[in-house]
Amino acid sequence: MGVDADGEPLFEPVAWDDALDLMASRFRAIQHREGEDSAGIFGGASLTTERAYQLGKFARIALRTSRIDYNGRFCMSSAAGAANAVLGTDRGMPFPLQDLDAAHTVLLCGSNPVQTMPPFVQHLASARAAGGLIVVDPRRSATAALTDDGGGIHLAPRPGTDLSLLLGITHVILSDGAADEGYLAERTSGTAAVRAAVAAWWPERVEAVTGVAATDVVTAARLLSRRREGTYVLTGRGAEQHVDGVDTVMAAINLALLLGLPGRENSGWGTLTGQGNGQGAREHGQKADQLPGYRLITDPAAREHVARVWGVDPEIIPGPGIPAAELLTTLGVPGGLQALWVNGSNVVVSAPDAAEVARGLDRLQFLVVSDFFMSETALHADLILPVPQWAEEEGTMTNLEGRVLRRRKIQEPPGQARDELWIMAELARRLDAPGTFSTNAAEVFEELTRASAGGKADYSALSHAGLDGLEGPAESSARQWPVTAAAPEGTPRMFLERFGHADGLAHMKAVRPRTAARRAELGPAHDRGSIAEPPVPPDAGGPDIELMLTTGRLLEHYQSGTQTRRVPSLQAAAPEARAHLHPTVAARLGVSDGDRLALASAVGKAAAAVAVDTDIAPHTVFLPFHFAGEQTVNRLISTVVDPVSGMPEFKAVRVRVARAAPAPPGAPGPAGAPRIDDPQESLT
Amino acid sequence: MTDRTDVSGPGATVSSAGLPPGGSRRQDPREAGAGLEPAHGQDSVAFRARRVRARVPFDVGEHVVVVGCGPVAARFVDDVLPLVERGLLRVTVLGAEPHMAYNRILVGEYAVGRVSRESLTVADLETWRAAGVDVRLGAEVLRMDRTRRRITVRVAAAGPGEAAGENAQENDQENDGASESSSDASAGISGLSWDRVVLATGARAVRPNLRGLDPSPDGAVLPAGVTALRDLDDARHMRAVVAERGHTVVLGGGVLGVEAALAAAETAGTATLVHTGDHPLGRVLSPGTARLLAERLRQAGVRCRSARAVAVATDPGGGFTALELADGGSIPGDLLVLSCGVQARAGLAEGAGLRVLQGIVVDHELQADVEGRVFAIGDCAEVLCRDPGCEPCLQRRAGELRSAPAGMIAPGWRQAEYLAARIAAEVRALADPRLMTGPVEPMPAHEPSVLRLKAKDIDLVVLDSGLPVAGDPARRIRFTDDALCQDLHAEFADDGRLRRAVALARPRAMAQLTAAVEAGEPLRGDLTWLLSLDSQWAAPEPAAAGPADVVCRCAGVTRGVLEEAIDGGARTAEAITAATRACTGCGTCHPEIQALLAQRDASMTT
Repeated sequence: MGVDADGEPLFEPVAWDDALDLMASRFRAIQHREGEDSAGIFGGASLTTERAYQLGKFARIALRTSRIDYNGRFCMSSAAGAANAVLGTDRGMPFPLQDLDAAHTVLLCGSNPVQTMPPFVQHLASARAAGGLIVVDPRRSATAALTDDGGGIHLAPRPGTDLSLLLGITHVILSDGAADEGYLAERTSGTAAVRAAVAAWWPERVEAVTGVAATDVVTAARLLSRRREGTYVLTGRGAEQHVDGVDTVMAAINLALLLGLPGRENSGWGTLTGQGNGQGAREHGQKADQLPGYRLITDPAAREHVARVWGVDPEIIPGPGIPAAELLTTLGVPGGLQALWVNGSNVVVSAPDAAEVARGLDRLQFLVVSDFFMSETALHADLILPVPQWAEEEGTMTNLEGRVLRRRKIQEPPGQARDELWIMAELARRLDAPGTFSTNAAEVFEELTRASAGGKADYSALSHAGLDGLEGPAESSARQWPVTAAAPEGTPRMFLERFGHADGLAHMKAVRPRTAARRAELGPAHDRGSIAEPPVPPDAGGPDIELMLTTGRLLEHYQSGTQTRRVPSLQAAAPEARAHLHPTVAARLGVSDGDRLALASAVGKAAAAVAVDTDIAPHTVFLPFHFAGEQTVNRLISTVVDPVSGMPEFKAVRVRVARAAPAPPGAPGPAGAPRIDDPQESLT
Repeated sequence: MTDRTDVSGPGATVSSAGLPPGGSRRQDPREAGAGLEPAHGQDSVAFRARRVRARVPFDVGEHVVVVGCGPVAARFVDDVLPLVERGLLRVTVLGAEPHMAYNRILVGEYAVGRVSRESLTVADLETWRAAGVDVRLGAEVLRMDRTRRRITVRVAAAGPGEAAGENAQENDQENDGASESSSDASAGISGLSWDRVVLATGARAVRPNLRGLDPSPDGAVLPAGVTALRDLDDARHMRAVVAERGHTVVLGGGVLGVEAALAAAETAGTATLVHTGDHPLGRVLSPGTARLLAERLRQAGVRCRSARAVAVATDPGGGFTALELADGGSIPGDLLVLSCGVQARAGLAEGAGLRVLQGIVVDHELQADVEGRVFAIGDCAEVLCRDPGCEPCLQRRAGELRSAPAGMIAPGWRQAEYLAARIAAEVRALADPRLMTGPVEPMPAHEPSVLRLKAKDIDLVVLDSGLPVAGDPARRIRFTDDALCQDLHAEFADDGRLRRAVALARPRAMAQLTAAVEAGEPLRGDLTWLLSLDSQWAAPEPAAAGPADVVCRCAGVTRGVLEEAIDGGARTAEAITAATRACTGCGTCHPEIQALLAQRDASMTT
């Protein structure tokens, strides 16, 4: 790879055989020189479950590396961590989505489905009709606006204070004596410690921390304790993408447990999964610490079982690796990764401290990127492998309700794109890997079901043929796991008799906002307070002020925008990152709609167009994360992460903002990843 | 222990560094800048260095005895639990009451049945014990000997449950025997060795000087029907009276008195509040706000009476019947709640030769002694340092800066968290030198205070940033509505930070202001958005649907485009979908498309 006269990277076509020979020999040479863990795989939650499974297997027995993780760490991992700890099993929604149609009260904590998941919104209609939609969001988002006109109530906590707010709502429920004591005694443990922790968060104290009026905290609590049947607690990225994201979700689950919601019909807790295959991609070994079936890689019995399915000695399966954000800090550094294969993930845009990630990719000795478009990450690669997209391959995905859905091939991929399963099989052969690597998705799925058998996410009674044979509307043509010989129809509602822990109980854990001693105990890598003050943006052209940055999505775009920024109508509707500012803030900065805003945090800088917006609080600025180059908001995000889930702090980041100084005439454009000017450009 | 020249002996305070109040080193407050950082003059630096060198460093496995088991003690213990679990610290908690720490802030609400007993407990005994904390309840500390580092404890007769029973037994520690105790079984008195003591003894209610009332703070019990509403027994008593719709008379027009009267009136219908000055809360509110509050109290069923009380009248059985006033009047009632302020429980510290003024005097690192062996946190402590460069403390001495009002929990919790973090930093670094983080900075000399009325229908907050006052505020905003009894005023420094503010009956504006003060965040520009948060005006009618409205969000199809498609011949939803891509995604817009079709059909046929 070289660069052209404009500094743009130059790529030249290469035959598949040569490409795979090159990749295998480079990976092998680097691993030979620097150890097996010098090569790694970064996966994605957009892959089909078959490919996510195969990638985990490929890492462990073909590359023999522990270094595999995926972009779901930036998405659902906090909810997964909390659900595993408290409920014993992580299935995003342990009940069918349609159950919400009979709900009268839904607490939606940190989710904006009107923009991010429009089909979901119809399921909120009955809660709105009953005046019971409670939306927690620092912004008056389109979803928060659904609470207007008697639909419910919008609580707007300061960014990063969701945990205190949830404790406050829980406090009122307990003070009112509205807890379901019979259920707690029968189905949970640890309630005494939870009660003690919550006792310190009465509404007036919560008000001082969150900015949410005590009266609104009480109103929300009273709505939630109206009647158990028909009450749901749902969390989203807003609650989860924090350094205390796992604690925040645990607080939400505790709240639900105190009301007796989970594990019963017509009520429950769930999380709204953020990516297409967010659930399936996290269940079968793509995570650093897991093996298929949601098994722990440290569990000897799990290793034994999976090794038998793979036809290998359990000894050769490496131990746990390191989670995504941390993994990306080891790029090209001594003792870190020297070779990386990125699959369906655009880390240059989506990872925290994105500018440093880009530098890290350039330090690697060898970078391979598989994608179906020329992503910003692919521009850094030594080798780009074009792969099919969703309608061009067979497979399955598992949706937010744990429902396993078939994805069918309706057309051949264009050009020379090749299926990842074929790529892995070819590479495995070149690497003399043990075991088999089928190129047939149905066969891989069949193997996956055996590997998952007996695990938490048990797919053992599923097959492509079986799924294809189901008739009727979507909800009856798919199955919710676990699907086993004992439960061949699947499990629409989990935990009805017992939770996922060995004793069958839900294990409530006391959580509280971290105090200084606790933060010190966890260390600076997990301490929001360890991030330095944001500097004045280097290109500030006017007065600057400090704000709290929170990030999120737009309706028009998906994830890093690799796909949607190529769709002309979407790009026309939302062509650039717009920083939402309260009018009083805009007035003080001397900016108006469309002006260029400069932002800086302790780790980086970014730019965006101003959008003056009364729906945002004056202490907050919102930016979407779909954009690249200087508009990459994740360049402002540090690598401080949740100690359990490895989730970065995406939702409460101190930044300084100012009107951007006009660029001097003739000066080169702002530094950033090269622009992709041709929206139709693809690899094929 | 080299630099002890300025210490006159155990129990003495630093002598040479302390200047008389209002001494010659006082600076003009304006020179002290915005004042968040203490001005570090040379004297100040030398003072700090002396203090640090006089301290006895921590060792691994030291025994910390926490005296008190209230919410502040609980916060401290919760925060040092990881150290206890790892054997880096031994902790014994001595609680005088037979209960685990409970939330005194909510005792008043418990008294009227607004909150459940269970929601009061702020610490979990099982969690503490599992971590290895020695918890002794019903244990009264009689003496603290700082020379031999012993503490003398009287354990109440074994009671049921979590009380004395198992506490009388010594917890055998295989340690250096630092906690070996001698006991006099017959009297229930035992001794305990310690390396450090954290005093969190809280405050007791002040008893007013009234005929018929024993003035001794720890003296005989109050007459039946008279309570200070401090502990759970008091609360149960009040609960019984208001449940029978008995009449409660509250003496004292501070925040706690107002809350008690409101709580009683909420359940019983009415209550009487006896206060001095023109209106309740007259000392913290401007006359205008106080008048509006009084009107709201009246509406809530609280009769306010400005008077001086002189006597408690009792019936032949000794039970309360009426409060007699200096003006000759008398207010009959079933219960008298004394809400005349609190005073620090500092007797133990005083007996040990520690300096006590309004409370146990501690510096900004919460040390009560020079060696750093005794600390005080919460209501029993008074922060007043002798640093000649510490402007706030100089102002406090001179009476120019008000100390935060007593009886609030937030400052105590901040202290507990700070002390735990300070000890944790030192002890963890001992266990693992890689964790050395350098000295923990002292607590800020300025602390914001938030005085928040907890009542069902009256939202009132008085905020004070604690910043030293230098000249007139740079900005004042004021909104008052006499008819609706609403009030909002705020004063700002020129950097936009709130100096103080009062909000009555504007709960959401109040929440924003409170959170801004707590976060130390400036508020600038047009602030009328604060008023809009609580506005009850009707929302404007939504504009009539227009061609630019997006109907299909997934494909971004507007009403205009759909109408064009219909006009162009699309007569079914399928045809519209084929023409516009509308409804190819989530399907949510299907009903709207159908409605549009029907509407278009109707208009075409007419």
